[in-house]
Amino acid sequence: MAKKTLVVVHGMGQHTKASVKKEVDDAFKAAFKLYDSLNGAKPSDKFDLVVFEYNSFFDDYRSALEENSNDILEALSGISGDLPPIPKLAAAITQLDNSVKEDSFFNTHWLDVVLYRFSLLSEPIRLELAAVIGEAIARVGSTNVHVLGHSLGTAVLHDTLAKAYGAEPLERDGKSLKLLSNRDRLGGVHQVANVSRVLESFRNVDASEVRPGHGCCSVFVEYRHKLDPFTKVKPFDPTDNEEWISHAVWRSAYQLVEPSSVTETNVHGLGHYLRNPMVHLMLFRLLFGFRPNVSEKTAASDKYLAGTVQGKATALRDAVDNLQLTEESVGELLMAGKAFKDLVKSFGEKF
Amino acid sequence: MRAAIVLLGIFWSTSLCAQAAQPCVGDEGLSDATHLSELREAAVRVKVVQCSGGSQDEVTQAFVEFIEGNQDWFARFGGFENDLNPMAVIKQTLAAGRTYDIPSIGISLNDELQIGAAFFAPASMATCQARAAPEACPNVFDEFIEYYTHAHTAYATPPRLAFVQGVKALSGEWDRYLTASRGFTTLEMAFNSAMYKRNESVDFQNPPDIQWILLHPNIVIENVDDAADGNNVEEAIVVDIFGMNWWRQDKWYMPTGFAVTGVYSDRPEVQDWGYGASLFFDSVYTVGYSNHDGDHGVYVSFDLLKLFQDKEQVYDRLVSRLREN
Repeated sequence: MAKKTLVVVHGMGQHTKASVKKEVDDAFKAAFKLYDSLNGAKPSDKFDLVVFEYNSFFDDYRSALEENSNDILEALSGISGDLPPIPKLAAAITQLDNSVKEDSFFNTHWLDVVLYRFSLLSEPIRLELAAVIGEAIARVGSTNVHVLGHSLGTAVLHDTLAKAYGAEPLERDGKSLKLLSNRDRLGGVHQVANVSRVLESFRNVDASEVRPGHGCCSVFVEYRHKLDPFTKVKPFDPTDNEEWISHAVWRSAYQLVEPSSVTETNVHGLGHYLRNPMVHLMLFRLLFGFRPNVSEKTAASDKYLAGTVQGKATALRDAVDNLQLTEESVGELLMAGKAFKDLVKSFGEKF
Repeated sequence: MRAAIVLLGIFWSTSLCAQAAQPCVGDEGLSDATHLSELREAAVRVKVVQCSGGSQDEVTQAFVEFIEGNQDWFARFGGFENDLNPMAVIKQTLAAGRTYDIPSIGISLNDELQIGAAFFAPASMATCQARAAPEACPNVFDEFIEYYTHAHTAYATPPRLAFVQGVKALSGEWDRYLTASRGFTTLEMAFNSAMYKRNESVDFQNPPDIQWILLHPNIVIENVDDAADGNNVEEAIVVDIFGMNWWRQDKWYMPTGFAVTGVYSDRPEVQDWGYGASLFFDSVYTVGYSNHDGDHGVYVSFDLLKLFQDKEQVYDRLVSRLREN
């Protein structure tokens, strides 16, 4: 079979193309080892992996802030005592800019969410991702391209596809700016820890072109770990009532995968999701037609489950129960994320 | 020696001719057929039209012939449930005149062929399994999709590449907006973003034409004639209180924007603070007027003077002046 392409859009945090590729590669390699029939094979033999990195947009913005705040403004912000009103105002503004460029957890993680959702930096990010997806489908054919978003990446992916796809061509100022849902339909959209609904803006996620069937993809799969707190805030939860998609499409082209096994505290991590057979079997079937028989699947599942950690699962369940989410907002998402981050670090793990 | 050079030349030009005459094979990356060899050949024929330099109309015609000539490819596997036929569905698209929108074909989560919201399952799984053995029935669909997609890609590549060009060109405009406009403070990013997102649509958008300036601090060099001798030219802090910048304006001699400003500088016998107005050039340089309670001044941005003055010395002088206050 000709090789398919998986385009991965990472979540919040300090990511590079190489770091995301490594995380995904390592997870898939661990998955391959669970199956005798994949013994000796490498994921890169079976499909191509393309990583879309957009962290640099936020880093460039932070660097530009640093450049624009020249030496004297930095000296201004360090002066104590009463400043006259105008320098005081200049100092206050500079202090705000300086705080954004500091290397704190808020700035390297949550700020990405805020910047993506509320700033105009989101549009150039979407345009770059659209170009990556367009190049992939031009190269191998749209059916052979699957796209996967993780965490904040689910919002980036949803918004990009919602703008990139339509029923009719669009040309503006001599530029072609639409792919056609019918002609250029993707093989699949995979949303891991989907937060696109809580971050929706110009179009609600249940009204956009990003849906299976008549929309931009043949199949649409969500992956939501039962103990992942990020997915508890305003999740995308369609129902089978012919509102979002028809019964036939629901039956054949939409699925919600809900793993619950815990092998590390950071159940939100992309690698943790991908190592779970419930997740990677779906991807492997669609990417290279991998359909192991029942006994091979059971053996693989047993090997995977041998690594689960009861203590961490209990702590996670308690943490999720303690979350008192009163409103479905970006603020609640960040609060849930902070509590989760603290829990992960308490186990000595990296978030 | 001369003979050797002549022979080398003949060999080199023969190789070039051979390269130029090399036919386009049309099956690059395509798996060998297990079940659908005729369909594979038909798909390759479409690809050959494309890679031999055929026009989009010629490629589309070849693809239409591929669809019409392979309507019954699944017949020997028992046909489809309910007498449906994916190729017939695609023919309907052609009949409706939408040759620019011939659908791609995917596979569903239940291993059916899928065109949009239409699903095609074997009429008899047992028949399909029997004909596909030793492989499984879904492998036949995998193979069909591979060959259909191969032909479809030949047809659909030009508009897809046009899309890539389009979004890259628009992306370039955004790059220009973010680099050529006046640098955004956090406050300005928030304000400009709020203005931009008021009218956001489901289509990709151009960057805003106007950059809003809001409480933007700058260092300038100000000259106040009425100041005491030796204090005429001093560093000053300017806050652009509110303004606008048309960042696309590229004539160097025309202003790109303006702002109403507050100015602070420390001089004996001149009021420290004043009000004024700035004009921006090339979105970067500033020329302005200030009024310190009747004492008039003009100023230029620090950038303009950076070629002529040592930055460090200026900073140190201003900082120590402020500290004295």
